Amino acid sequence: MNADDTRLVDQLRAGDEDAYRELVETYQDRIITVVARVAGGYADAEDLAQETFLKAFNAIGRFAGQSALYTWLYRIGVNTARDYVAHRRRRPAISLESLPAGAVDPPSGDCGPLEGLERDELRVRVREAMERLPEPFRTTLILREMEGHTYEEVAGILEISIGTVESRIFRARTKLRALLLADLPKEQSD
Amino acid sequence: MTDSDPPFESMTAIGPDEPMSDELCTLILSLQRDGRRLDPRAVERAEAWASSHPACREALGDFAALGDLLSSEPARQTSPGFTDRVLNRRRLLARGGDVLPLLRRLAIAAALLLGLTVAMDMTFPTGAAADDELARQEHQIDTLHPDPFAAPDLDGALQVLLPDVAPLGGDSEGLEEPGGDQ
Repeated sequence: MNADDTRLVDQLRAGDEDAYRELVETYQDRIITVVARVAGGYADAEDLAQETFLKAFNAIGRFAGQSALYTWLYRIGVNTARDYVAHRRRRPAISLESLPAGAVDPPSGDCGPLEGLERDELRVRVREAMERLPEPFRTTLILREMEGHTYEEVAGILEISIGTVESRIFRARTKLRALLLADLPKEQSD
Repeated sequence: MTDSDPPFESMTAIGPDEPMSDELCTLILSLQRDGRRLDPRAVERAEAWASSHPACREALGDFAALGDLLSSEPARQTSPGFTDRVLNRRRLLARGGDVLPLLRRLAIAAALLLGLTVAMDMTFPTGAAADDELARQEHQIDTLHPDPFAAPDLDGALQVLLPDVAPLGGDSEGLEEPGGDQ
């Protein structure tokens, strides 16, 4: 923990109102971004971000300082969003086993069928397919691809092994691709 | 592959002698692209496989397209006043915490009082027996069912209720069936 973090943590523990404000103002955009991504399109991201900060205020006394303050806060945000996903009613996630690894025969050549799609169209399809990807693969992929964390950072945030991160990311990519290929019109997948 | 976690610590432990397949080839080369350190011999075999198996190359191409798209998803921003809303909520919750200890104490006191009352009643039961005279008093309904398992005794009950009226089965003065002896 660096000196700034130490100072801020001490002030938060003392109940300093300015410290609370500093924590929120410093990290609010990063926290709302990650909770919005993990919770998906059905969530009120500001509510989840607010809940993240309130949990952090309550738990600051238990923060041991073994990680950076932001990492600890970020982890609270990810878990808050994951809890939301676990409890909300939404379209059931697809079991990884319910889809074949490749739903259609890929075309010849080096260009995958998804590469050939127009970007905006692919973006819409990907967002919808991401909603159907099951946990915990979805969150692992979001932390890697959207949040840009290294495998080691993802392992630390989710408190899982590196091997599990590697496995989940590969399976998440494979099944995301399968979901998208299954939804493609026949002529585009030929 | 199943949904369960891998049996080994890291997929970078994939050895050079693992039987190659499209899936394994895609796995190895995607890990390599992600900067994972792998056995160079395994990577070499995967690259050789990919050169003659387009399915692996196409999957890798799609992975790259998806990764590129996901990484370009826009970040979010909070709406104006977010900080104040969070701090206001924090203060509200902090005030609410002052009430709880008092309510908790009241609830404990009420529970103790209830427990004491029940204990005293069990230790010193009140005399709730019926008055002797009342206990001996027969109720008119008892004549209808002298025995709870027997059929109701209507004649007996009517005799008790209407002692001046002759029983139906006995002398029926003035009661003659219509039509006489026909």
